[in-house]
Amino acid sequence: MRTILLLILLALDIFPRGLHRGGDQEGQYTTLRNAMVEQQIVERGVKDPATLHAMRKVQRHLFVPQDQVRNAYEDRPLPIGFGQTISQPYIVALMTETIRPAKGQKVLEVGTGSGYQAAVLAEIVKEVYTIEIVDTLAQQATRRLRANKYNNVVVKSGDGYYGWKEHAPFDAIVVTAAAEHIPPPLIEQLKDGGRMIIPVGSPFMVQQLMLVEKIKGRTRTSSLLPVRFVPFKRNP
Amino acid sequence: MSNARTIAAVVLISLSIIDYQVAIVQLFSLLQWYHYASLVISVALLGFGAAGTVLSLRREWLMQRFSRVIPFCMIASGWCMMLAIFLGNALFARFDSYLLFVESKQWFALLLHYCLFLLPFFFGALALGMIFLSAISKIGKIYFANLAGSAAGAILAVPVSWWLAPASLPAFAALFAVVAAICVMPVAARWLQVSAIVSLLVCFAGIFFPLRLNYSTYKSLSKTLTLPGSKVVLEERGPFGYVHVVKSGALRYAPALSLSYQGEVPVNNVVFNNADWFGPLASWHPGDSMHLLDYSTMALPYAISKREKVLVLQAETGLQVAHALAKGATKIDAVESNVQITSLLNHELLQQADSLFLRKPVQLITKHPRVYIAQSKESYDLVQLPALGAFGGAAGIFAMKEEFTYTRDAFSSMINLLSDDGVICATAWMDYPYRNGLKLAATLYESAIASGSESPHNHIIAIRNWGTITFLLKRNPFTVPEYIATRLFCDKMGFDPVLLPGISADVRMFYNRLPDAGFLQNIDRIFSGHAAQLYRDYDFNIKPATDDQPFFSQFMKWSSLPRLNKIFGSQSIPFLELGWLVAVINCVQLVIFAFILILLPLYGLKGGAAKWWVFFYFGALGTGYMLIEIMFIQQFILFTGNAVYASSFVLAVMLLSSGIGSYVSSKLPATPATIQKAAVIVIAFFTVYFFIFNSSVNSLSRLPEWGRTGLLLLCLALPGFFMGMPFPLGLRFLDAASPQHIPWAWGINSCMSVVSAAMASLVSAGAGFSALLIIASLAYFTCLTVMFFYQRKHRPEQ
Repeated sequence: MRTILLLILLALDIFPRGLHRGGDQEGQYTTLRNAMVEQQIVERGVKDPATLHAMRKVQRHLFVPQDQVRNAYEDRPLPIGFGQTISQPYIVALMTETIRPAKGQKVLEVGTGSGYQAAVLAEIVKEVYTIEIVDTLAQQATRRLRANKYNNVVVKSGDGYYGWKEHAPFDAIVVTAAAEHIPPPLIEQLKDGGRMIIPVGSPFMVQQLMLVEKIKGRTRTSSLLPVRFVPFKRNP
Repeated sequence: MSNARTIAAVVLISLSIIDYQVAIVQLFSLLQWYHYASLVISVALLGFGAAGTVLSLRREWLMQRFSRVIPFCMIASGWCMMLAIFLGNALFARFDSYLLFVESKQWFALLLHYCLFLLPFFFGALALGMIFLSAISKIGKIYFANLAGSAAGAILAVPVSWWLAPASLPAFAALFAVVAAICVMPVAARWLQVSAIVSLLVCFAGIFFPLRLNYSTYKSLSKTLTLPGSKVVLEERGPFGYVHVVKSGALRYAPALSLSYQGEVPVNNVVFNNADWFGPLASWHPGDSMHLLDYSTMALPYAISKREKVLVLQAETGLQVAHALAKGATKIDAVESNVQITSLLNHELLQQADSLFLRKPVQLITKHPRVYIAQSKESYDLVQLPALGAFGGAAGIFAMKEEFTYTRDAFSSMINLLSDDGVICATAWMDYPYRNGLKLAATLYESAIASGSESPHNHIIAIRNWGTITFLLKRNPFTVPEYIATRLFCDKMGFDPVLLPGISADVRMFYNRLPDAGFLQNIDRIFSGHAAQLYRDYDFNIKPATDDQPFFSQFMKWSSLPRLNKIFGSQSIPFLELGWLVAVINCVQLVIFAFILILLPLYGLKGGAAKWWVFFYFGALGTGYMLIEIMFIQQFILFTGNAVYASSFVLAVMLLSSGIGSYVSSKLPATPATIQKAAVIVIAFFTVYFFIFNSSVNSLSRLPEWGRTGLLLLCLALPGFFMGMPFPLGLRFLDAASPQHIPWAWGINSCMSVVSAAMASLVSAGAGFSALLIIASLAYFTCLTVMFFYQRKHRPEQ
């Protein structure tokens, strides 16, 4: 009877994952992370060395809730509470590569969530300003980023609609919490020649990305197809 | 046990079961999504089949304890009704349908829900089954009481959803189960009497002190309430759903706003229905000539011409009405079928909505848009429809929802309402893979042809931005000044023309590049007369919806499933076509559960070959009855405005008329000849319906309300009367021929009813309502044939 009960509890995912951790934990996570980058990201065509380096370095398992740690390096998004998710590693990498991050840049992120995307950006650019509307998530992300010494990330709890005027203009903007309109202040705070990236669609499917470019004051958008997709049947 | 008390108990327990079904549909729609209600209820209804099995296997033991088991089962049913909700809401069993395809533990939670929700139906059905078995000679009357009770439950469900909060509904249903137990309570059973009194008290506590419900954290309402300063300012219950109005400093709505807009997007209060986004509270002040929608593709009709008379279909919270007011329309007819929301907008929310629907040029019409289109004799400069789909794709959640406003037939009717320069404006959210935009293009193209246009490309233009595509369909060909105005509007807003004469490929993707040219190429294929070939070749179903198959958002093709799985991976598929997938899973799981719960345990029963005719006869009856019931419910949503009213009306009329049929059948001889006659009459009705079906939507819509209601009542009641006969006649016949198979027959009938209910939505979405009619006719033909062969085989003995 006890065995059955134990099996049920395991199936219902009640035990914290921490119980399974062994001694050589960090080494295991590094192996998993490297495999994640090779199999999920490089194989799908992400080439930017800075992005790949950041993805190899940032410890994703530290940015997910306790009950999701064992899934941290899987090829999918994970729930983080409050109806929010941490994006699939590939999407994080693709978004990062698409904004063409470089040393010395200043990037705004709207929708901090777990803080993982901000950490990846912080490995490459000079400053990351990130805004999270759910106060609890903002506090959690601040704690995580501080604990992991990401001192070039500033987290603000508030409405991302207005952007962050005091630190504008930004070289790039990452909007992880997409809405059915792009707030005009964000367009305004994007540098001329700057890039804004927005994932569109359910986080649990491979998302389409929308790139907004500001060129000489005019904006143009491009829908980007993650390379996992193949073109749809058109002509027989 | 007196006859009258038994009849009363049957009526009450039947009422209780139906009300409980309605309660859990409402609760699941609110806490999760509607499809999961069907997933859980279908399995739960197999409790009927499981009860039949237990009755077959333990018939003697149960019948010897009849007087105590019956009230016990009824009380147990009532308790389980409340416990299922209580335990299902508890943390350890928390189920989130959104994560079903993401986290494996959700499948265990779902399984737990199945078990919890099966029990109330199992106990209720066991009590009913035993009463049936004890009075087979009076089965006509008992069955009448069963159907009449169910009909009363269906009728009661509507007012109750106005009176009580959704969390109180299970306890309300349980109350009737306990009262049913009291009706048949033996005087000597003291412990049963005490438990009945305690149960009554618990029921009242459940009604007046309802549970605090936990919504899925992925519902729009839950997410909104996590925003700082968000609070619910109004709650309203009713048959259209549970409405919340939320105030927050961070709620702004500007659908696919042009990136050239530089102003501020105002904060709105938002209306949620069943915890899903319904719409922002639109506002407009006299003198405001600018509106946010001016910066959307939906503004195209106003950008190319002045629109005096505007018809807004599915007006929702009035965003398009406010836009028309801002553009100076002198007559605005706003049609919205959700009476609950329109009532709120005109009363409790009057100030917040700037009295929008009470402004002088606005006339609010509370009807289904299709009914209004068929009845109206007005002519309009603009017929405005809301945007189809949702930002980022609707994940297929509307796949199995009837959308009579977006059928080819509906657009053909709308064209007749247009003035000479009038246009229909239809918008879709861009999605990937491309579905909404292509199907809308195909629908407009075919509607134009059906309305006599020889060159639809002269009557249809389209523009697109980063989020939406808008089509205009004009009664007369577009003029050169209109084409020029369209180009200017696109340049000003940063939009791209999609369908416009003389534009190059570069211009079609100048401001907003698509991932590939497939979308535009497919639009061109539609407009170059190769639509039929595209429908065949494309991986999704983009063939226009019709009145026979009014499922615009059903895009799935069985044949494409392996390819889509390869492209997107098995985990992504659910989020492409969720509604369809859940319906398929529902069907598969029902067959498996039916096998485990009903067929397998009964396999060893004695009776040999006799089982097969019982299986076919009672299985076919369950199938035929349920398919017709579902078909009528889906059709009647058009005339009643929502699913709860439609279900209530159809169930009440059909069950009551079938109950009367059953009662009358008790005076008829239970012979194959009688059964065959009833089946022939039923088939005759279905045949007539099959031939008049396609023209019925418009013809019925044109009738005045009383005439339409009367005619619909007759259409349901007449076949319903005869459909109520074969089951009790069959049971009486079986009682004489092979009485040990009665519980099995009942179980099979219930089982096939449930399986057919799940199958019905897949059949109607895939092949149309007429296919349901054909299958139902075949089912009754099977009954007829079974009786014919049985009669022939047993003639020598007789």
